[in-house]
Amino acid sequence: MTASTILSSVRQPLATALTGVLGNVYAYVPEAPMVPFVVTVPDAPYLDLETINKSTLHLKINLIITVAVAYNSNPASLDNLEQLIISVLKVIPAGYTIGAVERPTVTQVGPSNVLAADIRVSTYYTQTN
Amino acid sequence: MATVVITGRDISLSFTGGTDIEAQATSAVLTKTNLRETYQTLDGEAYKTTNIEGTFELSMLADWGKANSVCEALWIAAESAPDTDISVTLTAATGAQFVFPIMPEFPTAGGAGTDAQTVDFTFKVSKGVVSDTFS
Repeated sequence: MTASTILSSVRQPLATALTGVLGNVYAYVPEAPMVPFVVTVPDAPYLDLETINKSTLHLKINLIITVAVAYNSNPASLDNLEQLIISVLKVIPAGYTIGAVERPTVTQVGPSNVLAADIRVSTYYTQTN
Repeated sequence: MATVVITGRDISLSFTGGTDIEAQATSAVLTKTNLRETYQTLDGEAYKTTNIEGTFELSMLADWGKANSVCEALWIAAESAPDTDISVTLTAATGAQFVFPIMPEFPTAGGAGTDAQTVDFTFKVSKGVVSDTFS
């Protein structure tokens, strides 16, 4: 039996669940994401060990879902970002706790500015093999 | 002798029914207490232990709906056989094992919107009987 990975068991399924939103979805940080985009990145702390026993690894995984839209017009960009955040919140799968959505900030990605916000989520992962 | 450190990761836990409790438990603490009377005599204090009690405190992530759910097993036990012991085996670390009977309790259900659902138990150890095996 192939060993499980966080990418295949958590980050990719989360990215797959998010594919219905109107944006480009990545399970990792790409070199040049295309706006609007949704990226899953590790939060800090990333992995928490909360359960007893060590024969099987059970981890709490803290992730940030970064959503970003083109920053051309402030009111329109904020509206677009809010709509993208709402659409992401609607499709986050069961088994995830959803924390705060951080304040939107203007961030430079490549040559252009984007309006981005972070959604903090957590879930649990069990290592097999 | 080198300093020994044991942690919660050294704990092994199982109970009758065989559900996968280690995947859910975040804390497991067995407490055994001597109930000791103190008498003031002309010679000073004298002591007499009149009873031994035990409690088992368990905190866990709720697992309602899971196959072989711990919460559901305990709920059913508390409902159908509330006065029948469940045998628990707790190993604090290799070489220190405790086996004891607990009375089943109902788990709570539900939780806050921002957090994982959790359940906290304080089980009574029946008659305070704890069987220990030390290496």
